[in-house]
Amino acid sequence: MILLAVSLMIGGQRLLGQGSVIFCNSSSTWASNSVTSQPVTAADGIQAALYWSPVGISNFVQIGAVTTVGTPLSGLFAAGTRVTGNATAGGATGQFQVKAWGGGYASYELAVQAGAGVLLGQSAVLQIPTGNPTAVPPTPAVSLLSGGLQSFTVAPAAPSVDIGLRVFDGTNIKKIAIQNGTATSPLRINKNGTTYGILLVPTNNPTASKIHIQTSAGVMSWQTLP
Amino acid sequence: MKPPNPGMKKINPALIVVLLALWPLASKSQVYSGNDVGYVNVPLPKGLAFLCNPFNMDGTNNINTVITNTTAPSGTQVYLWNVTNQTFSLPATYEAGSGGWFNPDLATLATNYLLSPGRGFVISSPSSWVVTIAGVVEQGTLTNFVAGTNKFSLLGNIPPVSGQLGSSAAQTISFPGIDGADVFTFNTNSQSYSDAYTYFQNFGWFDPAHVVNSNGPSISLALSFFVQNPGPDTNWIQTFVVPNTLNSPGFQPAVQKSVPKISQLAITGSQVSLRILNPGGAPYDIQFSTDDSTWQTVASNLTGATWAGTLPNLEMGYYRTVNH
Repeated sequence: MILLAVSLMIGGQRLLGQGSVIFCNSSSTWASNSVTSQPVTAADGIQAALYWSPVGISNFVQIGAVTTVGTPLSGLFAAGTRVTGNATAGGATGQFQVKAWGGGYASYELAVQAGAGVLLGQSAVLQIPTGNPTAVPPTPAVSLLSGGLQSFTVAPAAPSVDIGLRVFDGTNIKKIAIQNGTATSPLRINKNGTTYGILLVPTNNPTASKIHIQTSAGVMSWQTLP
Repeated sequence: MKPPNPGMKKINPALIVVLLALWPLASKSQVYSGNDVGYVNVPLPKGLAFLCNPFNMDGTNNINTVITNTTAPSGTQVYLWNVTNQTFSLPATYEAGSGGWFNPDLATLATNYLLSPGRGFVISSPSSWVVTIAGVVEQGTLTNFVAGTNKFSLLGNIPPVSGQLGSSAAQTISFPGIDGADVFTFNTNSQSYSDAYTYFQNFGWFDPAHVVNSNGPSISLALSFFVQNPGPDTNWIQTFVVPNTLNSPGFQPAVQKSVPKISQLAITGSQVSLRILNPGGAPYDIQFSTDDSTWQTVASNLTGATWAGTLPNLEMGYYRTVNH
């Protein structure tokens, strides 16, 4: 494994009541399908899950069950209350991200591992003050819309592989996405005599790392893998 | 919590139109009402309940005038929701020895805890009891403010009605449909919120548990609910009219009548007393109803400024004065 830097942070977890949010979007923030150029329908077989991480680190884990996108109407998902892990106390701010995928895989991670062609999409990372179900009186779960949820698109996964390239972004170790096959990226790396292309994405892409590079197309980020 | 009276429904506006259209034909035999007052008894469990005052006690609706039960357990607390700060207030506390509601300092009366009609509040009881809320039935076009930009509001019906949220369908409480809005009711049995009912444009209210239909959850009489509104500030407008009442908007009786009005409804234990404004000394009757629709006379040919009687042991009721 190529390890540029190593650091491990384990947040201290306190046994407090956890925060709560509502896992749903709205008609103005629907999910669309790049293949059909339409809002995702239930027949598209797109599933979604809500991911959570404490503020200050980027360690997203799925919270709650998977739901179907396209219910009750095309582009919508509405799966009710989701509760964070203990590291986000009730009423405290947590980080949230909606991840969606096709192909019938049990999780987003499995869909990513399945590789090219699988429909994948994710929202931006949202920071949301949560509801507090254990306060007196309790406060209700908070909508993702209040954190600025916007529409996002599911699209066929770009071909990429993991050759063990890692970077430390100041907080976490990130896997870096590598082109599968002939290297066409302007940024390349050689490993064991084989040249690979490092995938670059716009700096505002949800998969962008904090590692930036100036290219002829402007400043780009190294793309991360989940 | 079960609705205090499942049969209590919002008056169908179409029915009002029919009744008013028939009014000139029936005017000679019709009674006129000066106004309409009511009360509701809400059983409260130990723990939390989310309530709303469906009557207008005196225009101010201070907690010490709205909740006058002397049977409230000492230490019962009432929290108000601060829409601006998005937090609950410190609670007002009932002191049985003093017979009143006090500020958090427990030294001064809670004169600024206002339980206005349509404003939700939370009551926390150390033991179960029954709260009685009484006052004048509000009529006309009634407006309740729903804060926007993702703010939470704690709301209830301004008039004494119950029904599903709906939006424009009949037999609902006509709560505005705001795309992406979430509504939460409170379950006193589990002492927790319901899951969110979310409104989607072109669909209606969606229940992730698939229990209620697209008209959304039913809001019972005198109960409140939370709503988080992702849109701009908006108004929840309800139109409520009690037929044959002189202060009903748009009501023009064929023959001008002067009917005394009830200015105060006070309940003490099993006794009810009414204060009546009757400057002309006209004879009047007092009537009672369980549904604000069907009335029976409980006292006849009165002229005085007060009346007292035994309070029917019911979940809710209404009194009115009519011309004798």
